[in-house]
Amino acid sequence: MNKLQQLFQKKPNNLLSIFFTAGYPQLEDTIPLIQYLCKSSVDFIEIGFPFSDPLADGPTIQATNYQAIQNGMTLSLLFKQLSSLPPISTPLILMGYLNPILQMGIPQFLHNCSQNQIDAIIIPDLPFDYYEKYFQKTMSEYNICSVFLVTPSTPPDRLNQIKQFTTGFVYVVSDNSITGKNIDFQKQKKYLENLQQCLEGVPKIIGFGIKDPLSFQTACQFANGAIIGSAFLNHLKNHKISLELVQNFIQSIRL
Amino acid sequence: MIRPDKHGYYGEFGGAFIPEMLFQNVYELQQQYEKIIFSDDFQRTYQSYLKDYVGRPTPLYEAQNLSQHYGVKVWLKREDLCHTGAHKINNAIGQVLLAKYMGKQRIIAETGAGQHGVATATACALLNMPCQIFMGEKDIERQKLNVLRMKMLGAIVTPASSGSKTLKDATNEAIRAWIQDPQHTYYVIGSVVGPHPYPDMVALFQSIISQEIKTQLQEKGYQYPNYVIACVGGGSNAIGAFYHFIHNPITQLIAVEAAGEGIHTHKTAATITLGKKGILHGSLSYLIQSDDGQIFEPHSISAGLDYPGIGPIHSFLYEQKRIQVLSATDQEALEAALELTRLEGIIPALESAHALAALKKIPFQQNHSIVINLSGRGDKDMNTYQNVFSYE
Ligand SMILES: Cc1ncc(COP(=O)(O)O)c(C=O)c1O
Repeated sequence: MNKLQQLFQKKPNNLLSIFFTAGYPQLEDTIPLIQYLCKSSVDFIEIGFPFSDPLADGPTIQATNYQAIQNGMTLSLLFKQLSSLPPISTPLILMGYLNPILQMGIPQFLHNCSQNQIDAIIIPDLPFDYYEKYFQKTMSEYNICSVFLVTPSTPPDRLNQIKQFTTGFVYVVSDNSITGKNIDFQKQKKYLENLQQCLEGVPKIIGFGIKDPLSFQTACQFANGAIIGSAFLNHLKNHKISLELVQNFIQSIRL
Repeated sequence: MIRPDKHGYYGEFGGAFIPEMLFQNVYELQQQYEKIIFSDDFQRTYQSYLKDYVGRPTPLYEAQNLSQHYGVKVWLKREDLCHTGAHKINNAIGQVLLAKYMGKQRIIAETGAGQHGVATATACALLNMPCQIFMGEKDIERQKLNVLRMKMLGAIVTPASSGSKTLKDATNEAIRAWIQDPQHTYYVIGSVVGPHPYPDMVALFQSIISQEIKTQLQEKGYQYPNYVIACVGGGSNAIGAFYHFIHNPITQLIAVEAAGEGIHTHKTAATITLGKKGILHGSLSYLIQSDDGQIFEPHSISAGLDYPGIGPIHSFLYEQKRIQVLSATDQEALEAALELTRLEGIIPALESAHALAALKKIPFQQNHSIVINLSGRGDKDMNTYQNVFSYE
């Protein structure tokens, strides 16, 4: 079991995860941000590596991707930064689109993950056949977890497939939506309840549109926890990052 | 003829690399498109629109002055005479009709030059569907006439202001809009790009071009052309013109990319010439990108070719050495446009002018016959022509 799987065993409820874009607001903010998030008792951390064309993302994350690329962030630089991170107990997840990974080469990418404390990866545009062909075996050798997305329009037989492929958690997308939109739990109640049944026994984390104590708590009623991305990145905007800045945000969510 | 395997691959190219949010939409389309578009009922309606509404078959015109100038027989496939002024309508009518059959209630599309936007808005007016077109801010500026046409046709034109503010960004915005209304919205992609089944479907709709060329040449007593030449943005007019010649090795197929200010500058859209394999907009193909996999902002004077990728079919045909890829600069395209205008009295679209520019680059023999796909007319480019040629 890796750190992420242990976390789900130890603490099955109210997990809070924070997503941020590597290289934003400043190129060298990646490592300090990880350390501040650890100190703020976030349960696990998702590091996004930037892509020029983030199809599933709304304006906030589009802007952080753009800024990070302008700042000079690349996937190989991110691994270089991560190699300077002292061992941490908080699970780390890497998230990003497939193209930068293809350019690095899939074996090299997975090797780099295994050398840099990465416990799971999320690639929103990775098809199952590619996962099976090029990722699955090596990931299990390196003990890196797989995470797949489900949405309100994911058909039932596909849910089953996702359940089978998942070794980390299922990323429950709160709505048919890009990142950074508001979520209407009333509208999604049936979808979320249905997932509790269909994906019983599989850790579930809700993301997209979680931004305040209310949406976080509500999400936790339907899943093991939630991921906050856009709201956190908006909080960082125009600021010099500091432990206080990060702690303020986490406290404002956990209350 | 060329069709992908059942997962949408042409060799290693193509596929459907899409976020989960689009899975159901794309899957539904994959399951239904062949059943619907090959049905008698669909074909009857579609073919009658092509004939009486679009104005097909478009002429295959023997350009005598141009032929004399180059010392070779040049035929122009007159897609510029299609209703709305370009080949894009062949695909737009097909897809909007398909959307109707699938019970969709709203149409979205991206556009570069505005020709696909106008064609889609036209099909939507005809078939009574609400329509929203995404267009890069820069393209809204340089293709004003087409923006006005789309608005008059009743479409909402939404500017895409991210990135290079051109076709790539308009496509991103269209996909994001699709993610947010998967059930009711049908996304009409304008070229042979995007996730499977779009490249196959758009190629099928555009293949009418080469079907007609073949028949028309035979009627004129020619068995086959020695060359078929077309410009490539995403590659829809090119694959349409190549489709029925792919298995005839005697016909050389020439795709002309936009070199912009030159392939040795950063201001270029010569995708195959300069690109590496990668994934954009749901399929694996050649892309112009950095070592880190960030897509470069392309440049071409012609908005319709200003795209950093190319359809997976073309990447495949290129690797199979079945097509030859050339490039033409902004300047060469402008010169070719003026040349055709003065020699034949036909003002071509800037995109099509890139295909014409290839006449100076091909080592043809006197007895060869060449077909150039004149994909569109130049009305939309009068702003650019006026600026470049300094007409008062
Ligand atoms: C007249 C014309 N030709 C060519 C193109 C390029 O597209 P494709 O490569 O798909 O034919 C466009 C695109 O807008 C166009 O308007």
